[in-house]
Amino acid sequence: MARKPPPVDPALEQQLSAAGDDDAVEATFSLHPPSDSSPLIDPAEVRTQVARLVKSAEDATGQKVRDLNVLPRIQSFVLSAPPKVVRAVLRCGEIASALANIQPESMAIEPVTGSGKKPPPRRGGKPKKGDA
Amino acid sequence: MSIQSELNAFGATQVLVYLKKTVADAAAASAVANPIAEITKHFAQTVVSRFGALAAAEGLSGGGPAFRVYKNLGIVLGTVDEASYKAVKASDEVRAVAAVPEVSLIRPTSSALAAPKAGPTWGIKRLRVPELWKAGLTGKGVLVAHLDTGVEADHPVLKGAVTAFAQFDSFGREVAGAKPSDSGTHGTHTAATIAGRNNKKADVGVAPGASLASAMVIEGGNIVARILGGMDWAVGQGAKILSMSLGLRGFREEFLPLMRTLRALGILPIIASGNEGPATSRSPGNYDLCLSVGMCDSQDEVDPDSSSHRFDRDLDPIVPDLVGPGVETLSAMPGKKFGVKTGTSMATPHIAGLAALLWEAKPNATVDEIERAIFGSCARPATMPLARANRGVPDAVEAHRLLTTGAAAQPAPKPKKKPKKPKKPKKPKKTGG
Repeated sequence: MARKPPPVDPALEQQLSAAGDDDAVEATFSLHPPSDSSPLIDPAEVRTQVARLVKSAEDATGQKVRDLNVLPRIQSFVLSAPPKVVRAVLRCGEIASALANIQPESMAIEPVTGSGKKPPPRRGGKPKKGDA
Repeated sequence: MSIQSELNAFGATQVLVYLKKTVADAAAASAVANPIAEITKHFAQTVVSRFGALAAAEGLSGGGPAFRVYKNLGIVLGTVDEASYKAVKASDEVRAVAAVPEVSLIRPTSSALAAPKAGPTWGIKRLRVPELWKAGLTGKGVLVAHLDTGVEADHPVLKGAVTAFAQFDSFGREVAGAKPSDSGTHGTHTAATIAGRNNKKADVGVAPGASLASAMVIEGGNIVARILGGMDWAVGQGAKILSMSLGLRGFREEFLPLMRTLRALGILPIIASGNEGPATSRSPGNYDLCLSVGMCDSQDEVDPDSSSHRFDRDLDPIVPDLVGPGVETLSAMPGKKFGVKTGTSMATPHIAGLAALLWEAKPNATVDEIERAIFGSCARPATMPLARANRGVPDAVEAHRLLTTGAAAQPAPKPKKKPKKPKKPKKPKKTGG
């Protein structure tokens, strides 16, 4: 059964579109597991798979990957490459998802101020309808 | 705005220049004042760019400093025009050139220093954790992965807690020789909530015997590879629990494979739901694969800023899964101090610590069993709406009972769908007369 295309981060799409042919775009990728019942890939096999699909992308585009960092235990890798190479990697069936490495905004969930007005506390009774 | 848009509009812009690894390593090790002069010679002071204009408005002549080198990160922040942008991009020493992220609304931190108060914090008492302490449970032997801003490992309440520390560069590679430190205050605060040691000043840690594998992955928080590098490292350390306060706004599928992998590896991801209020959430916290945590206060009310969301799905439609103590929580702060913070990231380490206590009680428990025990123990007071608090607040004693009696071994039966009531036939309309 054909896999559906991986979800691709809009920020990555934007960076790929904005980049020149020789610019380097950084992306992080996760690999598909072998099957639903076998969700883990041996770390050595992760490296083998990544090397294979990187070579395939380089052969297809005639361009080279600039930098590669494989994170075998979490079945992921980080790539810096020209946009055509990144798109070729995205087309590989092994890719489960992809994100721009450099996100447009912080992902940190920052604490909030403890002060500020809050709604008066309810004293028992049913919760109000419409609370979301 | 993109770099080119800025250049078109203003003629100059600030950029982040990411150095190649070999260059970055050499720069970090160099004692020379500016080890990358070949790159920085291209940067210029100017008032023309947006940032230069801001600097000039603050009274900095010429548009402020032309560049700033972040040696440990291998990054340079500098101002370029069209010609120098091309020159920097073409440099053999440069890996990538990126626009400076837009400044988005970031709520101010509530990093208020506070005097410690002897005894357990209100949050620890609310979860009934001290009763597990009396039973001899402290989280000993359980390793919690703490991915945050770093940690002040020699803080008195964290002595011996941090058994491993790592820092990651912007490509997810471990920075060699990194010593424990906190790039802010958040990491020390959350670390101590998970595993702060009991002491005369204040008992701020839920699992005072647990160990922490702490990684500095947030400095700005917009580099995905640093977080992934930290996760990969934490897996290698043997962590059972991942405590994290990070996420992309909304529901984003890109982290799904990663969370599946972590659970398959026997790791429970416990993630803050967010601090943007009702009808908001972030991924990966809003996945059913993650244990998402909202925040409540000491009056058993869900804080208005606690994120919550209802999804159209059968499994775990409401986010967060539960709420934990997160308002004005006392914990450690760098400088060997104490302070209070408010946020779902304060609630999250409470639940991570609870998971550590439970895993000590039953070391061979699966991720699902630990999660079911925590969920099954929850109670939602009348002051907390379902849509905001979901299951409510966990109870450590009840969670321990469910886990150790085997009641958490089986999944809870799916609620039976109520049969639809047959529609009443409409009464015929009276037609006068």
